[in-house]
Amino acid sequence: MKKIIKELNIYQPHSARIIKIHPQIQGHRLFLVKFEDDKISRNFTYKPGQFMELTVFGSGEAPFSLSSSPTRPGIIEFCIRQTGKVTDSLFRLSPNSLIGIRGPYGNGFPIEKLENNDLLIVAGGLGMAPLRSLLRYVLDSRERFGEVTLIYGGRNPDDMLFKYELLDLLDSPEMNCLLSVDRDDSGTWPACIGPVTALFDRIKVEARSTYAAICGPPIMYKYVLEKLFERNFSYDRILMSLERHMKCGVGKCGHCAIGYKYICMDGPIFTYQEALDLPEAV
Amino acid sequence: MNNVKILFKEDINKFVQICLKEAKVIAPFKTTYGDTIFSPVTSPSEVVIDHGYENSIIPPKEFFLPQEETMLTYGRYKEGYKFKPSLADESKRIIFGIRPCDVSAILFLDRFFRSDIEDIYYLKKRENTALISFCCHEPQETCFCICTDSGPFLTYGFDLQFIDLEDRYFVEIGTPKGEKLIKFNKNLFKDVSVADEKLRQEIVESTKNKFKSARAYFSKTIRKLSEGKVDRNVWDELGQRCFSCGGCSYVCPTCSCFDVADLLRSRDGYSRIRTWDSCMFAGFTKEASGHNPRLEKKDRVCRRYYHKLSYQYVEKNETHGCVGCGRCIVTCLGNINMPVVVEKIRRS
Repeated sequence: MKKIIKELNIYQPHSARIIKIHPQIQGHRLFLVKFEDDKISRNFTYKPGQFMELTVFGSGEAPFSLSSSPTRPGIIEFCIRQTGKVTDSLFRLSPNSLIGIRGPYGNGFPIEKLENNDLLIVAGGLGMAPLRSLLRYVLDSRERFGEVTLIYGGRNPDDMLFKYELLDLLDSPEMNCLLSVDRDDSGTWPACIGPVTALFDRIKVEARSTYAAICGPPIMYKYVLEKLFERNFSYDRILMSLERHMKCGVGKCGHCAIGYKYICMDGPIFTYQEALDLPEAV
Repeated sequence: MNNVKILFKEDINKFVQICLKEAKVIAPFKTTYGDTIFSPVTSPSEVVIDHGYENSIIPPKEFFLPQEETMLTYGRYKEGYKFKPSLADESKRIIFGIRPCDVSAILFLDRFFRSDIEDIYYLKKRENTALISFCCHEPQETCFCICTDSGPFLTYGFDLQFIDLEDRYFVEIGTPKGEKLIKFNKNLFKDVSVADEKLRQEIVESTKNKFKSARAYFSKTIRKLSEGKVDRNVWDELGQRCFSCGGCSYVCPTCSCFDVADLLRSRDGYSRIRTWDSCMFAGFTKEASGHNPRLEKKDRVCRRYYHKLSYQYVEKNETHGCVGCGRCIVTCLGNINMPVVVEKIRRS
């Protein structure tokens, strides 16, 4: 038996403080969090697409994807939907409350590969949470990437995460931001109305020099993939963030296994090619 | 070839006594109900060491990955909350009389908990534990370690391995940890004669023919599973018979999935515990959104056997995930067990 050199306990969270809570859409909030220990905070870095395990004291631990970008260090952000025991308790907390935090985990987006390529980001629903991290990262290091396009749709304007931030990007010279809602009863929505797939007809992408990054509900993948195949996207240029129930975050508890991969270790970002090789993926 | 010694049966109690002095001894123990279980013992008389003892219902993995284990405790302090890791006590342990199939399973778990990110809860306990394996030459009806290449005689993995030669034991020393147990008791352990070697060889050979009904021919099954060529009807049929009780995973010595929960254990302190979990439970894969990728029982049965046998996992774990202990045969009410599933897939 090999001697255990690392005495590091991978399951032990650090203490962190909620700095601010921004209300998002109904049932969703953006939590701004900072490590209590300054040294950890200073040395902490991560990749867009990675996730962390948050502990709400007395309720338990759950994984959440990072919505902030490592290009803006110090405060980390999580866009969270209230959906179960841990998030119920989290939503009862106020700014200045303490939580536990460990990570980052997962592979994240292959940033080095994406550099010098065009980027097409396609989000649906809460899928915007991890993709916002990528979007921010790319906009903060704009010169390292080619054309950037975002396609994001919701049912109505009240369904759009990061709404004002994204609306600000509509006229941005830095990128092509396409937002769409199925219906707008208020009549004030300044962007498109219609199915999100219709936005594909309005973009020009060169499949050979573009990476597509997709995250959304399972039903969305089917339609988006169809659109990408129409444009001859190769399978290894389509990046998908996959979702599974997860507990430990470090490849031991077995919950997030998909085929022979663990979402928490080998994912959550997979190319379509990799996902095809997994027996249970889409 | 491992270093070998002879221990006469009349001296076995003395050796157990020595083990008891060295460490906490966990050994097969007969309950008043008549079951054999692994349990901490305090005297040689409690140990069941005749080779007739059956495989314990609960595999010895429970001493490395307990059914319930506290990982951390936390409570409120003036400056907030503080996490305190709850690591296993570091005292030395010996598992005495463990079967070769269970040793093979522990080697499997060692590789898993050491791979990528190390799990110190498992590894600390493992590091402090010596395995003294007793080979079986009277396999039970449900045993098929001979088909999984994980028994009834091992060539490595044990610290000490005992083979019953009628009035004496043939003792193989597998590691320095095992060597140490013998070194200080030289007068107990005698040198091996040519006749002993010969008898050992005879017993190893004759035991191979004693395996009874349980049989599993893996290679074709592994190929079909890995290539996704198993007839859907096989899973339909198995799914109909599954009760989703999780028994197969609990008794399986290589199953290691766990659930994590925070429980209020005292007035001002919570415990984060991990407990055995099973991929046969419907909630095992239920996502926060409510979506469940493995909603149907047949999908879950398929998943379990894919994990145990597919070539993709064999490559990852260096071997398939079955050691032929036969516990799933004894436990499953629906008669879904390794030999049955292997045979169904092979013939589909």
